[in-house]
Amino acid sequence: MRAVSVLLLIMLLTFATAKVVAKGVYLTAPAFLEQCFGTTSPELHAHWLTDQDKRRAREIFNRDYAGLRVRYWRSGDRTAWIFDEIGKTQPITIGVLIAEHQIKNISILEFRESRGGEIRHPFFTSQFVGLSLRRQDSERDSKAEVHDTAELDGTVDGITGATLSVRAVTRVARFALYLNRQVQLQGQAVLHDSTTLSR
Amino acid sequence: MIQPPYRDKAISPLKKWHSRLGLTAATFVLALAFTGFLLNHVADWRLDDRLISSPLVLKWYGISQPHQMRSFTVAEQFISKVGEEVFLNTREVAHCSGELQGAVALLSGKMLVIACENELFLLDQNHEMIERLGISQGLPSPLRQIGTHNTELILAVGSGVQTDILRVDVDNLLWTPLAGDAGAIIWSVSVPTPPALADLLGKHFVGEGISVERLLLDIHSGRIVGGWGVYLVDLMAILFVVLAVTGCLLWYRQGRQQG
Repeated sequence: MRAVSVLLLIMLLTFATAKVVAKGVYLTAPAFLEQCFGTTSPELHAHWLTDQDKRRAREIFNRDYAGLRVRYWRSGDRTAWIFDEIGKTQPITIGVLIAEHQIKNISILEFRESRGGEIRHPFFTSQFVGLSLRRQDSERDSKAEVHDTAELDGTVDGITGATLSVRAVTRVARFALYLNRQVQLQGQAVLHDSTTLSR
Repeated sequence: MIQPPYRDKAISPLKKWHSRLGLTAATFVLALAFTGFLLNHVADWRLDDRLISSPLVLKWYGISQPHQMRSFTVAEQFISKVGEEVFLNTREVAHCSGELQGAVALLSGKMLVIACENELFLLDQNHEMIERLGISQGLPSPLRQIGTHNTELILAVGSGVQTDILRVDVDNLLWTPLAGDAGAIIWSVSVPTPPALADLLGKHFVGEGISVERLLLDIHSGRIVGGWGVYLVDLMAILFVVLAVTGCLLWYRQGRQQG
């Protein structure tokens, strides 16, 4: 009978201490940017979404993106993006650092839901490091072209009980990689135009 | 078949209590199993999107039209907040969790700025969202008031008695203290919501109802009957543990006696 009592007590204590608190601010935006760029001050930019960007956003988010422009921070070829994306019912603030078209850092700045906060841990976020968008060869006008798809070129393991939060981070990672590609291409186009004009 | 008396002595009291507790727990087991099964498939069956608008359920949850609605006028349009949705007249334009603090028009009406406690929403002349500025973009908070001063956007920021008046450059995200005459600021002030608009928005708010998932979660956790329902479910959890233990003991003792 004593063994049964001890067993009951252990189970009661387990129930009592099983409450998981996931909500909170884990990293402020300035701290995230400092983590990304160190002592170098990045420049703040705004990218106006084109029709193509909006179509790609719809493909990634399964809905229209709420906004016509997106802010990002840039220093050299490194760009940092901060998005609020709904996990289940509340927005998750997610920061992404990209360099050489690859994710270098992904951090959860703020988590507002009661479940799924495990996504903030490095065991999950480190899976994104090194990922970029999958490239696809296509034939157009008899020329072989390479296009980015909206898919990551690697797999990300989910977390049981945090499926929607995992999906939210994955969507943000894909969109940030896509936008990074667009702003880098725009930068190259501007450079190309200015070189052409100076000739 | 008549059981020998020694068996009844050892097993009967335990068996009697096991049966009683089992019957008490049966209803809860069925409810928990059914709701648990459905909750496992919320995403597959989109139970979080399906809304219940049954008057009985809404009444149980105390959902009714909001008594007070805060509205602001800008460029002859009403900006109102119902629940967590911000409306421009009857069109839903943004989602904010804090209090609605006002709205102003900039650039001769080409841009509309709506302020909530921790967010600013920039809308173009077609009322499309240009962008949402929050704490992540460096927005000082909590916002108390929004206004204009010589075509510039002005924010009153702070809590308690400490309030800072800031000039805002929304393109470059610059927030600088106002040096000039604060008396010349035209603040956005709340106005009574026209009854017809309040009725429409109120119906929209009630019409959303609650999701099937919410109802299932509340039944599963016991919250459907209020705060004490949670403790009732806790009690049931303990009861299930007792049933498991007494069941094992009965099985063990019966096996030993038969052996």
